[in-house]
Amino acid sequence: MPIKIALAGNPNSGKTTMFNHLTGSTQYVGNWPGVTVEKKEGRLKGDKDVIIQDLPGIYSLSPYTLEEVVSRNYLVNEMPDAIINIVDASNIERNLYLTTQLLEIGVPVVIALNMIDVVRKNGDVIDIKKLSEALGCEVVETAAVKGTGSKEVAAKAVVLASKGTKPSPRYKFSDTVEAALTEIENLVDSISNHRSRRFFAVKLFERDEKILEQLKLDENTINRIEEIISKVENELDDDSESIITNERYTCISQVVEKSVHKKNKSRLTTSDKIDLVLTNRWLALPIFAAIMFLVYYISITTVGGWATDWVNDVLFGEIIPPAVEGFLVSVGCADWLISLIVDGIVGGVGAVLGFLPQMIVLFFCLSILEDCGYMARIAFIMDRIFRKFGLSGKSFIPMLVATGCGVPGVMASRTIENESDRRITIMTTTFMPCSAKLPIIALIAGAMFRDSAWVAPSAYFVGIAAIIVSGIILKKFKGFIGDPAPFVMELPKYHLPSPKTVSIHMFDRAKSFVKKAGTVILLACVGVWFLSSFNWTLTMVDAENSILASLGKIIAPIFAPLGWGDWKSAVSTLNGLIAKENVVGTFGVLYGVEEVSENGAEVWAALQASYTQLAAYSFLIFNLLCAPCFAAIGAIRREMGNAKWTLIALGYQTGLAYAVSLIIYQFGMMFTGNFSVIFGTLAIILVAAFVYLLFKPVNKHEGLTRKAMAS
Amino acid sequence: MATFIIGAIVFGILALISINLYKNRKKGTTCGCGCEGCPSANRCK
Repeated sequence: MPIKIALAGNPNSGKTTMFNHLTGSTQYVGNWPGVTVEKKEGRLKGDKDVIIQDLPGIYSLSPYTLEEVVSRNYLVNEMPDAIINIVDASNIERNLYLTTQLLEIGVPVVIALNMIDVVRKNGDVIDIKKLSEALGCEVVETAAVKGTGSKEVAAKAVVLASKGTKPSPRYKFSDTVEAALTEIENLVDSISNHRSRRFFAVKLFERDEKILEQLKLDENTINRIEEIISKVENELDDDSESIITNERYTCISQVVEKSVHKKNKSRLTTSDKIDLVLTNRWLALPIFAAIMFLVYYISITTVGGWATDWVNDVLFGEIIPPAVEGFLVSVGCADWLISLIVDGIVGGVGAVLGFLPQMIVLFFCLSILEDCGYMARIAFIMDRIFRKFGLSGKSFIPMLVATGCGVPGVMASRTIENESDRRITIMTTTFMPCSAKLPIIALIAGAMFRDSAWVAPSAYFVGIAAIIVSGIILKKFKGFIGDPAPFVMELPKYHLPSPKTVSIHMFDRAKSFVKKAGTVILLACVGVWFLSSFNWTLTMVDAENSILASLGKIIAPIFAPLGWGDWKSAVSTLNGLIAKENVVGTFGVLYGVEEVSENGAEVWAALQASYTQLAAYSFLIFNLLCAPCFAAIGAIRREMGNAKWTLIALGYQTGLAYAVSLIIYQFGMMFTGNFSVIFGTLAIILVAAFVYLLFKPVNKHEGLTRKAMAS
Repeated sequence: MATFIIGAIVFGILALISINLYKNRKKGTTCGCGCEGCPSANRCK
């Protein structure tokens, strides 16, 4: 039987970093809560008989959040052979609260006193021996980011698991509470001999409904327990849950007093000083906007742009296509096969891969912001804004995740307890430009707005604006009304980004992009090539007379009011439903790269000739905001739990995308003196409707009435 | 002959990719977005 060791600790205490170090995996590490929603497993490096399990970060074993439920169910019901409790040594008081609960489960515990390097840097001292004695379990100093102590802590956990040594804490609750807990332990037969009897007794004392349900106690026992609790509550003049919380903190204070010596208790840390500026009420948003502008400017327009220009114009323009075509012609390949390989595969996949350098630079910048601790502040900053229209900063966390991929972003909404908030978050998360949308942004910014600094960053800000506007509007509709859920978040300390973490994040993202280009995008490009090269009688024709053109021309008029009513744009947008990169891949196949590269012109010259800048920007906005790819639609379906809400979400996203693109294009046309009576008027009506919905007062009475009826 | 050999290679690769994608989707190692093995893959299921 393999030994199972669980990693448990507060959010952002370094569990996943240690998990990666112990198992050699590269699981996603983030410094905001909710990164690990479900437990993950891996085998210990060097000892395949040991399974390490990374649990979601939790502050306690109370079943208030999904993460706490997942962790508690596993620890109490499935019982690992040992627990490695990762404690953030720089926040030891708060972290020990969970420790006191873990020690009650009856499973061997080893404490990994993590971030010990930060403690030392602050000049504080923790007496490991005294701490270990007080808690009745082994304590090992670790610095998971540097990999220090991880192996030692795992080795100790393996030894304890083999021996089955239970922790024996020295601290005790007050005599009154201890007596009540002993009485409950002895009263309930099913727990009196249980390994976790102390845990069950405390939970029964706290009137934990889930434990009461699990133990299936008879009425007499429940009444007797109630008598015991009431007696203590009367004596201590407090409710049972608060009594236990106070008892725990009293014990923790005693433990900390004996073992921790702080150099300066009231001094502001460097992180606090930085936060005075970066999370300042007035400066936070402008600083955030400036940073994101810079990130997109560097990634798309300057450093990333230069590299992409070379890949697009030279590698996939002058080198690969002529070389491949030359070879195929020389060996006497049939024309259709040459066209498939050069126009379909090299043209389509090459068009997408051309944007890899920009993606690498963007993810390098985002990884730095994330790893140094700044991105976690964004959720805190956004909480202030989101709260104004009834959402909390918790809704921004899935959106941060979605900058990588919309699928995990949608999945991350699981941590939001409030159903209406969760629905709004699911509906709006994919407005954030994910990595798959980056090639579209880069293509439009690069090909249509040469040297313009604002186009790429604007895509990010349009995404955030769409989320905020949607939040305000949706909160005024039935099914979404409600007060924001409380959002508690610990801000990690700022630190220099770890080159290893930054490079892992960056290369993982690049690897998955290349992999996607070589699988889903490749197949889709071949499909586009086939449909754009043959007519209905399967004779090879030019694209204008192809199957794809005949199908595209049916749907293209729908997009004419948005400024891009040609069939190529319409089919590219539809193809984006398979994967958003396909928009660019389809352009690559349909506009071709071979001819333009031969005469030295830029690869995307043909595209530039087909669009005005206004139409191109309208196209970009529609593709940013409309229904996401099928994988993300599947995630929305799973998280919404029914087809009706999925259709509402997709309808809202596509409707909003259409409305915003229409407004941009028609207002742009108005300013250039080309007013369309029908669509221009429609755009004005839409703007008026948006303004009305934004400023319409919330009918709280309606929400309260419905809540009362529901209860 | 060249058309036959190169065509077989190209279509063989395409078939292999399709089968692998289908298998991975069925096994649940990918959400279907095509980037299985990505750092977020464990959250896609």
